[in-house]
Amino acid sequence: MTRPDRVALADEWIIEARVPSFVSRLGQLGAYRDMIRYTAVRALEKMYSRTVLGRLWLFIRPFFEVVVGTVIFGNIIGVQSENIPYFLFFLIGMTIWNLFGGSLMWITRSLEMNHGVLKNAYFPRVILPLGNAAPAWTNFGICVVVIVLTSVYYYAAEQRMYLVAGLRTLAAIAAVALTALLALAVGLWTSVLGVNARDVRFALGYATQFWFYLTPVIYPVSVIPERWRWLAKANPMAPLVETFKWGMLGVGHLDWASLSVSVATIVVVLGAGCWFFNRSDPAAFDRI
Amino acid sequence: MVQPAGVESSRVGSTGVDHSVHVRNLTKCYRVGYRKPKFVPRVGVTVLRGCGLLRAAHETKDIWALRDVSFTVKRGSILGIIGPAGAGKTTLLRILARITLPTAGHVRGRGRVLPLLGVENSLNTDRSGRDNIMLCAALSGIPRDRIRHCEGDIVDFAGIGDVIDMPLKRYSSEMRLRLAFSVVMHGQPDILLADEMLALVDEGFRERAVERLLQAGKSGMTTLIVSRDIPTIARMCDEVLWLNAGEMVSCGDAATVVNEYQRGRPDVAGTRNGGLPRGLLA
Repeated sequence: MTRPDRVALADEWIIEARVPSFVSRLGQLGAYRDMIRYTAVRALEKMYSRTVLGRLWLFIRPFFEVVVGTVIFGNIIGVQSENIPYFLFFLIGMTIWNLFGGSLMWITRSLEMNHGVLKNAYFPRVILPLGNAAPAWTNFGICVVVIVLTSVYYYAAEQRMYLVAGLRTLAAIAAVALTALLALAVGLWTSVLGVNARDVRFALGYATQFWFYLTPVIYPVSVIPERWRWLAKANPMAPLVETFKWGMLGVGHLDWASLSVSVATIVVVLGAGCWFFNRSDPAAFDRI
Repeated sequence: MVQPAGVESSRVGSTGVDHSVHVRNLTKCYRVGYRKPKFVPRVGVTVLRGCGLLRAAHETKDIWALRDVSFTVKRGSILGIIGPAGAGKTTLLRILARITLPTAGHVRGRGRVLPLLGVENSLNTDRSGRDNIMLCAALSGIPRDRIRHCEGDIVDFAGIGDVIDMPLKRYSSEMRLRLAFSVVMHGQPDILLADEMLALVDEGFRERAVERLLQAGKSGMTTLIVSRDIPTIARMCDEVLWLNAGEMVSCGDAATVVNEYQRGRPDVAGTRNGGLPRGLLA
């Protein structure tokens, strides 16, 4: 079929009762990429809006967390840390965990926080979970800088470099990417469910805390008794934390078996999450 | 699936007199209330609810915001949408802007659709008006390159002078609306969806806005505008769509429909309970 107005025809669109496919919406992300940035900026500003110390909180919060954690778990309880200073061990564990926990929390709140925008502008809704994870990433970046500074300090004080570099760093980066995907995978579910029931947000707080203690963040996998090891193998977050520690510090080992279980879990939950998020779109957002 | 309507519109399109928006049997039903939890035994739910431990479930209710609405808007024309509160005017524009999905029916159209449906309320109030121009463009779906070079024009047309560099929270709601209108118009829409803006701005700006819409219409922009400002609608629109309780009462030549509307057709006014959607009263 030849038409003189081929260009105009390309602009033709149709709106139907059925939900557009997730893939077609992903295709629009390029055109709306500015929105990702704006969502991210908004989330960051919300993090320290109406505070006196402002951006300083970005540094204060992780600092307190790590110092208090080190004193309690490292000094008082005396958790072993495979010959690494507990401060560094704990800092590295918390860095990767907070990327997960923080992203999950911000992603879960993404729809509810931006409900005004949902009512009067169109853009692929998946932008909100993507952009809203920005505070968690900022926190992660700050922690990585602190990790480097800390190991420089230990190098100066003890003439020993704890951080390892090289091919292992790639494993650490892969662990970071998988962690972000896992948070997104769970967050796609919780964000939609949280629109209709705030219970989700409350429950998630407790669930994440429980999950945190099940994951070898504050202790190495090696201290888990044999009969409870399966718990660490089934937990998709455990091998990611272990891999990150392995990649950064060279302690522990890569457990390919549990890593593949983790990747498989992420693929399934993320795939189903995309479907669920897309399918729920009109139902959830008409109610918001 | 090729709808007969679409085939017709493309055929007309190739001869130059194309239709810009083609709405067929558009229906939208909002479901309110919460369904009973499916997986919990009925007795358990009753007991929990009796103790006040579970949120009481209202029976779900369907509100038909739009029912079987069909109309066509010609390229370059202005369609006014009028009707009492709860008639489905905003819902119609929201569907066209893809903010919500229709329950049934479809819309075909051609060209870039830019909505002006309260985007001014979603801007960043801590930043200046100037900083918000880009955000407003992003929210409306206007590519960055299209706006970047005409920041000066946008500020001029909005006519808010030096205020542009003050944080948005110091703006009146009218100033925000002016800024948003200016941004969207500079995004060069093929189809503009405007919700109740005429009644919210002062007379001077309204005249400039109307003039701008008429001028843009001559160069091919189609406008769908909702308003309660009936005299202005009668003056500027080519056609008017009258909605009542989600149903189309009449659609056609502006003067005729506005006339009918102002006389208030007794058969409509009498049966529709003062214009509230039927679902609300059911």
